[in-house]
Amino acid sequence: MWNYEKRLQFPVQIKTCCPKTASLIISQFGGPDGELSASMRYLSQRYSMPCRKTGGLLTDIGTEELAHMEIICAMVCQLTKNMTAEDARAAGFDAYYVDHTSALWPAAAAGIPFNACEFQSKGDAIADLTEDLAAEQKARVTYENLLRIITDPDVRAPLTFLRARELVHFQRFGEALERIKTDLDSRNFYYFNSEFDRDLKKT
Amino acid sequence: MKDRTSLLKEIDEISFTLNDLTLYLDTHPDCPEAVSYFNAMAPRRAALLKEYAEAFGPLTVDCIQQNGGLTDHFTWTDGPAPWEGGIL
Repeated sequence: MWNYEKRLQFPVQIKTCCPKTASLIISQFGGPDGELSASMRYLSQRYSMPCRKTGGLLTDIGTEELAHMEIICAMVCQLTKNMTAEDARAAGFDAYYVDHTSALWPAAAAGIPFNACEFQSKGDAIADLTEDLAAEQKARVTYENLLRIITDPDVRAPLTFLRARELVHFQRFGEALERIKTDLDSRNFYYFNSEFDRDLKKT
Repeated sequence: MKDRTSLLKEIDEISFTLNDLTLYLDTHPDCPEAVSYFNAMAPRRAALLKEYAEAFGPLTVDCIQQNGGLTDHFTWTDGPAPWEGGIL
């Protein structure tokens, strides 16, 4: 169950319309390392997670990723708010505009639509948490790539906040992975899959 | 009375404190400093949400009940959407 809170986690107050910037940051909505992918990854993985506390962490981080998705969408929305067809053409946003006008649709910066194949829910705690650690690092790199080319301070402030959150999530997933290991065979973490080989876990 | 922007900023800040603290507590559930910090911050957020609802409308559906319920009008969809921002 989720309840909506009618505010953004970090404020977005963009004063200058810029479809070009929108076409880049939309990748953090529907791109391979974007916030939609992040939230669906964590919220999908939690059901089979053998450690209840780690399931709780996946719920809380997955929920925060939904709020991050909303921040990115708010930025794209404001960057294209008063866009004309000519603005879209001049900014190279015209191909997106043809199919979606100025609505939000999850896609990567290069135009590839969002795809569930961009994340994994493997059913093995070590594999999934290692994927989560990598996902946070990949998202960090994407934010750094965006910050290298975007100069508008109104856009940079939320991107900087979102980049910092990737570091915190990475830290928390690292702690969760260490805790999972304490429940496993210390001589061989791969002796059994703690999400599946339940009989072996009891011994 | 505080203006809408500065009250919302206070809510954003205290809520972020609690979000970040929640993730920390998820992996450190027995940390005494974090537990007492949570107990100190959570009531402050609740009070600010109530103050905001009284002045500018509810940020959650639960805020409606906490401020005496509805009169003749459903207030939840009043006011700007969170994503509208600076270009209105």
